[in-house]
Amino acid sequence: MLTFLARRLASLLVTLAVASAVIFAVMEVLPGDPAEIMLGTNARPDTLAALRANLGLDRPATERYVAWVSGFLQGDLGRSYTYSVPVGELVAQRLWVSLPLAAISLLLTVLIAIPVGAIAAARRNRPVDIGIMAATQVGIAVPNFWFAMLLVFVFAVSLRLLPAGGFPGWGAGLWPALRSLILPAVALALPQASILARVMRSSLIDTLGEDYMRTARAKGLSRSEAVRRHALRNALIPVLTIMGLQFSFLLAGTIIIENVFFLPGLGRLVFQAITQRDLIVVKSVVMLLVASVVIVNFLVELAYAAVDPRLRRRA
Amino acid sequence: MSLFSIERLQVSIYGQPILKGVSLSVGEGEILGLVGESGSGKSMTALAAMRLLPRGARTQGRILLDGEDILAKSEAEMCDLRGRDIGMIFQEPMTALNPLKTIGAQVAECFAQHLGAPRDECMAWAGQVLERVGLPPSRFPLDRYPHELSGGQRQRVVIAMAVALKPKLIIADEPTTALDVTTQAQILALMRELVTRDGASLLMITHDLAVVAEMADRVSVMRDGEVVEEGATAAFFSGMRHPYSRALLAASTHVPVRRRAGCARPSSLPPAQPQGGQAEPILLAQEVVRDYRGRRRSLFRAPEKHRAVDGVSLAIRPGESVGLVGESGCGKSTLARTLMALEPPQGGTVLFRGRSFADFSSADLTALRRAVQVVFQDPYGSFDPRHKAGRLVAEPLYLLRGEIDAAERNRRIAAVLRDVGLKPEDAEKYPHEFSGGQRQRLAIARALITRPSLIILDEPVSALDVSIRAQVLDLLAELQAEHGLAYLFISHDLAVVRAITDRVLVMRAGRIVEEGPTEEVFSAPRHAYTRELLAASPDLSRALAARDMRAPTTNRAAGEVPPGG
Repeated sequence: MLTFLARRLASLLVTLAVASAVIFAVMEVLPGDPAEIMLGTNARPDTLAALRANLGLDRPATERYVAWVSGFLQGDLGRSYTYSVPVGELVAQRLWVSLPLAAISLLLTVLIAIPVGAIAAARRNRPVDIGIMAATQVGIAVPNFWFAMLLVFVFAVSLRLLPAGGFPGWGAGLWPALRSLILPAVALALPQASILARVMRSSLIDTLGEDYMRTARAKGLSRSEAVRRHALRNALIPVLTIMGLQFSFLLAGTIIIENVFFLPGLGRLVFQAITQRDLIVVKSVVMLLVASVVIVNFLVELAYAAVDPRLRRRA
Repeated sequence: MSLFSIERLQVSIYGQPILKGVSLSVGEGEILGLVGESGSGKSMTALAAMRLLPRGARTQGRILLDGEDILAKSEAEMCDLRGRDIGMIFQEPMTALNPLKTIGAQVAECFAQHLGAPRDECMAWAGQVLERVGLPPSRFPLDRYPHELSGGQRQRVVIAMAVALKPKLIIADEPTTALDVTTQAQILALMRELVTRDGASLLMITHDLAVVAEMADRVSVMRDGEVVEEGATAAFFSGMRHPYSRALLAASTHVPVRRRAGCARPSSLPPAQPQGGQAEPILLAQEVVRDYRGRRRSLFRAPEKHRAVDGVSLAIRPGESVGLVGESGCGKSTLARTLMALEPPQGGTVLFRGRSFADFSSADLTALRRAVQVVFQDPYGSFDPRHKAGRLVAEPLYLLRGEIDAAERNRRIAAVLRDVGLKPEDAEKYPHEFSGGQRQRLAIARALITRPSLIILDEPVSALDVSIRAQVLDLLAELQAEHGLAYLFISHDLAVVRAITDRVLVMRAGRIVEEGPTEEVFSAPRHAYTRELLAASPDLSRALAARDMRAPTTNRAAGEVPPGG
């Protein structure tokens, strides 16, 4: 188990190192000189050169890469060109919106998908299953921003239960802050839950046909006991895989959803930074997003090992 | 009165009749062998007794255990009965256990379910049961997972679960079919011992008459949803009445008549060296070594190697039939893949008509593929279900690139289909429209179409029923004589290899431990492993000879139920 952990951790670090190099390289090749953008196209060449020296843009790429990575590791993400504040501060504020949003929607996804998928599998080809399958088909087909608008219309405009957008900040209290995250989280979660429910259904149906389910019944377990004790955990293995993949979709989804709901999160930050060519912000936020996806997949692998003994072989 | 009896059991699934009035009975402490080919309804009978039939099944008749009708019980009563009064052992030990639970937990579950005892106590009992089936916790800790055990060990765990609560009746559905012969012998001995010691009755379902002859007190033969004959084992084998029983017996001891190529008269004598031992070999393997890369223990160290084939040399000459026997995992199939140049050897050489694979040009490779064809075990798995038989059979013809036109192609398809006993019109059918035996004929036709000189047959009859197996073996013998083919016949089934090969190689853990003319090796084995294999493989005549021929019991033709049964 320890060697398994060490090996996974090593591959996590290698992945992050490679990702940082790729992100840095891509930013280097992209057109657009930050100094020129900050000063405008009419700036005098000597002012430009001075600013570039000031920003460190005149040093060789490898040196800047090392500086960026070591700064990153120490929590120094550099200064935003446009906001003129440390990127670290900027990101930290936004993170406290995006991270809870992603976590809540992931939680919702799982809470909806697993029971719904399990019910559909248990009632296979009966009306309940057919209804669930139709609903998930709609859930997958409809884009999440449209869901978002529908939810706003129903719960904010008509029923006036929840805010239509904006974020009061965690300083305003837990409930007001959570309230404003509910609709965005639901809008993000519904399509993902639809996918995951279908995965859960087909995985459980496959598991129900396995020989060991018959063995369990032959021991004297009732149908539902056999499902609970032997099928569910086996069925969860493919579900975990898909969940790990979905997390990156959730993060990408936040960019649109945060814009729809006017949430001051990472998604909006990266969107604005791209339009303003604030490359240092883009670079750092993208790196953070990559890191969180990689870390979540690392956690998924640990979860795998927890569920499936075949993966944690004795070395 | 017998402990367990089935009376006029009828089962249909979605209106399709599966069992048509099955009657049988198992006395206390008795072993009943239920024999039949696939589709005869043996497994359905077992599942009906457990009330675990698939969805859409309708049942009629009576199934009595200790005088109580199982079919009249509620589902809750059945849950109490399953595992406690009837234990069941399944065919596939590899998939019958939950991969995510320890063997201790899975066996302990039987006790927890029926006795409601605390966890620790159930685990302690599980340890005792596993010890009884030959898996003492000192060597096989209870926290082992199924994937850490071999097939035979897993089957012992399945048996442990079946006998945990000392049920009155144990139903075993082909319990050793998926196992190697030496493992099979051990598992059969274990089952016999457990049944004797607990005084339990055993309903043993199998397709193998030799296993029945070794194990059963009485035999029932099933065909097409009906019991056609039953009787005490000794009497049954000495005086079979029903033609189907006789056909089954004839098929399972069938030895195909083999003729020399070009010689019309069958010769019963085993040939010393067909076509002269000096002919140049089609394939010649010298000191072949095959390694598999194992798991990487560290990113920076080379992965471990697993040696699957270890210095094997063999030659296959034109017209000769060579057998390769050994248990699963001994490297037979790996060797075969190397001989077909599908995977390169890590040591040694393979020569095709005197040229080494290592110096092969792509033209040489084409020549090899034309001359050496292959037939695999699972005929269904090796066909694309969306192609028609004609196209499937003609597939290897691409090796003849442009040498033949469409008319010749169709002539050849028709010819090979006729050769294997199918009709030219069958070219228009899809694989699923053929039976298992016909599909294997198709696979042979596909191998024949390039007019090869050698066919590698990898367990070609293992998945087939005995009667079909006999027909396919006849066909192979026939084709060999007609076309002067050489065979490399790979199998774990010694009886089949003995029936169809001139020379045999015995393989164990990657090495050839013994080789020689088939009859010599089988009648006077020199290596201990060969002797072990021979002793372990069920042999009908030996089993019957060993059987204590007590006073012959009455042998009834089936159809009626024993009075008071």
